[in-house]
Amino acid sequence: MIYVAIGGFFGAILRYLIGLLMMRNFPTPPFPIAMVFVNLLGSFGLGLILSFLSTYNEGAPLLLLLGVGFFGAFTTFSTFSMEAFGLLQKKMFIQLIFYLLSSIVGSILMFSIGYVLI
Amino acid sequence: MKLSNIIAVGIGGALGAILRYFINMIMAQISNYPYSTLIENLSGSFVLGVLTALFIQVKVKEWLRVGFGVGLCGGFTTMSTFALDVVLLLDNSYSSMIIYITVTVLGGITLAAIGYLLGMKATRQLNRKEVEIK
Repeated sequence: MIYVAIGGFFGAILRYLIGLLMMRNFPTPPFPIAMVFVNLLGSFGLGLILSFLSTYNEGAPLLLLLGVGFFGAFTTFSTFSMEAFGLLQKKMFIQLIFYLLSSIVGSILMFSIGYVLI
Repeated sequence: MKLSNIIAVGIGGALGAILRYFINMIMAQISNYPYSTLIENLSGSFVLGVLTALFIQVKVKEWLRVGFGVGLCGGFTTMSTFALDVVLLLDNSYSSMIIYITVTVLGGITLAAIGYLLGMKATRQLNRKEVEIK
């Protein structure tokens, strides 16, 4: 459990910092780009780690620390839902479709790419 | 970039991840289907909706706002495990994968919306009562 907690601690902080940094550099993106970036990167990372762990037969602690804790908390779904709802409220339908596709299809693809890479 | 905010996000993220881990362990005993991720992502979206409305209407300290929203809800829900589940379900059947994606995405957005609207309604009533008392 401590592994999950440590991973979650740093995963959430890194997501927060990337969000702040992107907001500072791109204050008015056409659609909420920061969480798309975080989710794609994190899904890719989880794919890499799972494939690495199964290849080298590493044990549970690393899986809990990095898989469940770090990448689990680094990526997020609740903010995705909220941002998608925000676009819906503003009737920005084209941005919404782009946001949905890049987040969902993108994350699945990036996970797969990460997994087959090692 | 205040340290108190960063620490609050970290603690929220750690608690969210632990809670997610517990649900995973409980649900793993019940079913092979990734209900755990589904439950986490749907309930987390709902709670973030409520919190977002709450924090618009009620002024709270920044560290509380980011600790619960970015940290706890963000760390509790997950996109990377969702992606993993989808790929695992593909081995199972194409239709179960499509159903899982649809329920997660539509359900998450719908629940975030319901949470947000409920939160708005509740806090508006609360504010009105305060005004009446004053």
